[in-house]
Amino acid sequence: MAGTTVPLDRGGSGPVSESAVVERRIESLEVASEDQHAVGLGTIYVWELPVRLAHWTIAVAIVVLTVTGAYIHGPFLAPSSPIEASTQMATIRFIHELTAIVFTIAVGLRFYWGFIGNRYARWSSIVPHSRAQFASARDMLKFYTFLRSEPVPMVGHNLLAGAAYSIVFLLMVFQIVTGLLLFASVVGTGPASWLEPIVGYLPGGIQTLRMLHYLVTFLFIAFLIHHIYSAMYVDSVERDGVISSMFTGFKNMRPHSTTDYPADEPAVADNGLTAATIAARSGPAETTPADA
Amino acid sequence: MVDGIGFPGGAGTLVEALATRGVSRRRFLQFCSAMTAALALPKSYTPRIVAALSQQTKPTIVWLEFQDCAGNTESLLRSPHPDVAQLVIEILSLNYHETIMAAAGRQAEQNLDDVVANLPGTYVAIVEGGIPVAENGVYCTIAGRTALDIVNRVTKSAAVTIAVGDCAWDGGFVSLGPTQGKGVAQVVAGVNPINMGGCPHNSVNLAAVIVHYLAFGAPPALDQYGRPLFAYGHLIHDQCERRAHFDAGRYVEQWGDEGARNGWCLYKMGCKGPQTDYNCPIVRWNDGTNWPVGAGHGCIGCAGPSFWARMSPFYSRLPDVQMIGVDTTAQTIGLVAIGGVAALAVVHRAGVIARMQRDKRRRAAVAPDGRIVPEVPAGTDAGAGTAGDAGVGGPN
Repeated sequence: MAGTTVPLDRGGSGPVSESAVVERRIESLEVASEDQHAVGLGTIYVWELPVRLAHWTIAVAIVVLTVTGAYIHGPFLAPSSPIEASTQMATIRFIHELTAIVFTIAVGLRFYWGFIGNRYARWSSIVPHSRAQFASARDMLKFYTFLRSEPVPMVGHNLLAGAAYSIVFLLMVFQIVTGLLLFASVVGTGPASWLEPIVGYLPGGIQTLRMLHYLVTFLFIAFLIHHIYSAMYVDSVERDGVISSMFTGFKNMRPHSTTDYPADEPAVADNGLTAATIAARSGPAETTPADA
Repeated sequence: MVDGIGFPGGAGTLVEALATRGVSRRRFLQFCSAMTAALALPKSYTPRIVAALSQQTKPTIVWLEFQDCAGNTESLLRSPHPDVAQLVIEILSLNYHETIMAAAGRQAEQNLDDVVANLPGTYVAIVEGGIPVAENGVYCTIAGRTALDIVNRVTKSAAVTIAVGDCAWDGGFVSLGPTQGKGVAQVVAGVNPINMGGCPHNSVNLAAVIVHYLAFGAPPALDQYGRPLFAYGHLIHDQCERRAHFDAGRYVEQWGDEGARNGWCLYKMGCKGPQTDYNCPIVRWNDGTNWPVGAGHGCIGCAGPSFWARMSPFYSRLPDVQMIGVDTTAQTIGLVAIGGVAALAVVHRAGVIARMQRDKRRRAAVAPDGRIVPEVPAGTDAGAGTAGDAGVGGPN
């Protein structure tokens, strides 16, 4: 059992008025020594190198692919020369295609690591599929909608983020497949061209394929905005160094941090939650009776 | 026998028929070379084609025309100088062709019936136009028979069926209308026509298909749509004379601008050359005079499947997004999505700031003894302040 909870009175000296906040938080302390990843109470190694490598490769690739893709969709640069031989579009297309291959490898690496990586990297802790995980996602949604004051104190992904990343991952796969089919329809030779006949069987044909490839790009931009905003917001509230953890791999261990809701971990309480999580969730349970 | 009706030279070979039309041996050899090239065969195949065409007796051709604009007939006939390809197709005992045959009425229909009855399995059926299937095909009837009936009767006993133009291929333009036009393969079970996509088809390719059939006794290699690969195996984009401008990033921005005058790439004007397989830039039109992109207009993708529906709008790079009652563009949807997320982030940030200020006010509340209570000491979270968080006790 990883989570031994310790009641901790960190508030002031009792209520001073009805409106004053009394900080009598019941928090749980992870017994760090029982977690092989924990480094004392200070930091915990969360994101392994392949995870960080994949993350930043994907991030840079998405930016490069979006910019080059925008040029390929509607060339916005003036020609480098009106007369001289030039390869402006050809070069940008080459960069797009090359980056797409790097992107595909990075996504593939992350997909693979979801099966062999640590507990935070695993698909089982990212894709919500248990009652406790859906509860975590619901709590996180409450946090974002101001119905809850604190984020779900997850060391790994909270499950709302996990759900979002699952969808984004599917969109990435969609972009890879549609991009590969578009590539197949123009490359003319080699293994990729063998996929070309598939295009003919898709409803709407190649034009619909191109439109969808273009449309989904906007969803990545929208996700990028949300992703950066949420990371900054959660980092500022949680103070667990979530942003720097994407560089170093280490997150600050907060006293109330819980690891996650590992689906394969029997260490959950009767109601499907770890003891630590129950402590963290005790607040909202009272504010919303439906949640109790 | 119906063989050779209306043409001098009787039932002789193709070469003899051409000779009576004043086509010299030299011109005939030029034609064979051109057909070899059109079929993307090595030059060494030219003698084989010459031999085949010299020895072959003329096969009979019937040309069925249904719901169409006669554009494919125009494509066949409208050469400024009737070329050998046209002569070959005409001279190949073109026994039935509504637009150009001399016979009329009962006599004309008799010609068609004779071919089907007397030459089963030997004649070539060429179909132009869509076959309407709505209400059992009553929207197109010839001599009291529906197109549906005629095409089934004629193509099922033909040696080879060629569907010329988009309407005969997959319904084309008329498939979008109330008559529910269909292509040959869609209405005739068991017949796999050679589909000559294009609006209209190119008569050079049609001649090449017939020559291939005569020379090798089999149709040319076909793609997944039943189109001959020699004509539909490569992107227009890859064969385009403006391709260098595409790769260089030089584009026509609007009709008549400097780029248009300089013959730059029509990509931004909605050219569908990068999405369309056709040998249009190579064989061209009007005796190889020119082709649409050469004349300064973007490709509309007419050789592609269901192009009227899929390739439109012709002057945009991408199709519109058609949702329930809404016709918009992918870009509009995408920008709305980005704007929505950005707006949500701004609204959320405003909410966070408002909550922080509310908490600040609450923390600075007045205590029962009258003094102002300062903020809760650092170390507690800024957002803490709901009643729930103040709950005493807990599961331990």
